[in-house]
Amino acid sequence: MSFLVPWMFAAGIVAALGVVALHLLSTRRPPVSMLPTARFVPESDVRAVARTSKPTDLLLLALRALAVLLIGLGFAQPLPDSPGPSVRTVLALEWTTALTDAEAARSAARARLEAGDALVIFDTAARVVDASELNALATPSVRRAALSPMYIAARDAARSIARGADSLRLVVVSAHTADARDAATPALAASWPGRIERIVLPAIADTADSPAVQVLPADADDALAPALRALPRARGTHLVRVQRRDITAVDSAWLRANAGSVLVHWPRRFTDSVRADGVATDDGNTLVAPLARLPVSEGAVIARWRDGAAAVSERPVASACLRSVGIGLPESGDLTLRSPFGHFLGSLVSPCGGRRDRALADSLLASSRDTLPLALASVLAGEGNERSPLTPWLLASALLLLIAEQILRRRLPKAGS
Amino acid sequence: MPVGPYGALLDAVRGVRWPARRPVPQGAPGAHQARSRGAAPEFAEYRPYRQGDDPKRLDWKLLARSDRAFIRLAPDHSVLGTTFLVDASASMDFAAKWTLAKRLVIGLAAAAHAGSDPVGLTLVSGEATRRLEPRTRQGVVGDIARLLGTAKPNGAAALADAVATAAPRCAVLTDCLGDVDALRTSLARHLVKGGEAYLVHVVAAAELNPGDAPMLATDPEDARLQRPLFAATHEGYRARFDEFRAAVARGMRSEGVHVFEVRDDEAAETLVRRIARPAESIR
Repeated sequence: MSFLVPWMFAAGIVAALGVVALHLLSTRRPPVSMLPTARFVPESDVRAVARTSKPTDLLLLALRALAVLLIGLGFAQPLPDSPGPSVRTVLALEWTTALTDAEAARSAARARLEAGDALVIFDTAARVVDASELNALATPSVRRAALSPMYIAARDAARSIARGADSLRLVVVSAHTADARDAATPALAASWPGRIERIVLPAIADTADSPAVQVLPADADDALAPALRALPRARGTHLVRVQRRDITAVDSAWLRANAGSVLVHWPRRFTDSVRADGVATDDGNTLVAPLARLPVSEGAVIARWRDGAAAVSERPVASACLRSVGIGLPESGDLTLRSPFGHFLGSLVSPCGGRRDRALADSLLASSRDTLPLALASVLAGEGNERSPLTPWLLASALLLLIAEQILRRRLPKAGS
Repeated sequence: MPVGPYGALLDAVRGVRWPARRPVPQGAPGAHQARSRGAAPEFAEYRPYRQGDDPKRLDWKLLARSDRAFIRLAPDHSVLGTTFLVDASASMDFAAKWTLAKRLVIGLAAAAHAGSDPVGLTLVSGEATRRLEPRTRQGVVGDIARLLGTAKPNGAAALADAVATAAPRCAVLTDCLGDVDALRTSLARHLVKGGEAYLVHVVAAAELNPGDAPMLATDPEDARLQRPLFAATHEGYRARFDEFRAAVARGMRSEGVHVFEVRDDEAAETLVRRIARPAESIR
């Protein structure tokens, strides 16, 4: 048993002793007696303090002292010591579509989890889950991860298991790609008061190779073709087919036959509604140019028009994915030859789940905290808004005792009467 | 005579008389020496005859011997009407004060009545003032006993006003916890009119020594007056009470009132003899 506010328990004990002392040193009115010459008695306080040599009303005394003790105990917020090892683990598992093998990630996490450990599942958001839920995790649907929410959730998880432990270990099982970082990530990582163990999982785009891109049909006057041939930032070993006409059964068969491949359905349509517009991908590339808005299929939106409307969607098909691009390009001009368009195009042909940049992840790992000692559990246990589940019950019990004391006191004859 | 529980007391004071402390005004023949001279057989002095005197009172032998006309005078005796003014306030209903007061009234009334004096009673309580006019008839002591028997002390009594209607000898039995200053003034007026005044200050032994047990002393005539009486206040209480009693006695005596302080644990027979004792035997 430990206390969140130990001094309150000590104060409760002192108050209970005070109650006992006051009971023994009771202030009571002497018995009323008629005395015609009362006027000659010097004036003084009607109450007289008397030390009771033989305590009376012991039940009343017990009720009062117990009520005060329970109040002190309640405010001290007792916590039962939870059983488990003295070193506990907070395991943070990335659960995104960017992982090449989600089952391997699950196995890696399972191998490190023990009884009493805490599990944090994160993608762009993080949540603390029970370790038993690890086997029941649904297939990941979010493309990228964010480390900052993970660190915050990890602290919450640490507080929940710190009571009764000596040390805490934070294990981050993730692809640790650079796009998982934001400006707050280094500070949040540094605020963890101890060692952070990082287990790096392979991500889909962890390669320096460029994807093999195929444009169908290969029209000579298609302005997209030369741009696809010179993709400056595209990474991956996957196959990409850009279909400029309607999708056929052949395309579906190709998609199912090639795991990890990407079928980009970007219809080549001539339209007069081209006007200045902007579109942005979820990995940060933007394109501002005379463009036409075309309908897109259902799926996860990976690029949006400036007003939020879907511009590109992605839908998993078997172990591959189908991207529907609703962007009409002008038939004239040098838009496709410009650098921003190349970057934008790189996002569209990125692997299923999004592009990953390993280079920045390496710099993140360079600032590893693997050599630090484990975090002290007492440091993490003392912070936050932890509440004792016993407190409401203790205070309610004290209230009941005080009510009983009132009832008992009314039934007892008054002193001096 | 239906005297109820007072039989033993009356037997004990049977021979006791209550003489006046000074010559009384002329009245019906009685046992007290009057201020006037009369024609009784006992010789006192001669006075020259004056026109209008009864010739029967001339001392003819002296006239024959000396040819001078003198009237033979003798000491006159008269009765002295007595009113017992009894305080029946609530404060008298404490310990044995009321019982003692009743017994003293009966004993003194019997002593006065034995000297053929008319005796009456004025009973002043918080509710009403009840009077029994002074009479000499046989059963008057019984009437007084009956009236006292039906009375129950209550409230706060104002004695001073009742003095005005009292007989020449007015005996006040009170604990002096009421209108004692006004009573002193009234008794002083009564004395100026030629009357006699007695103050029987009835004190309870429990008032003189309330005991060591702590108590919240409450005035029976004013329940709001509550004072804690315990070891620390005992001394002060006794000192103030002694001073009060001494001041009352001093003030009353300065007006000419005969003051007797009686305790409720004293025998009424003894007290009756002490109060009725002739003046020359009082130190």
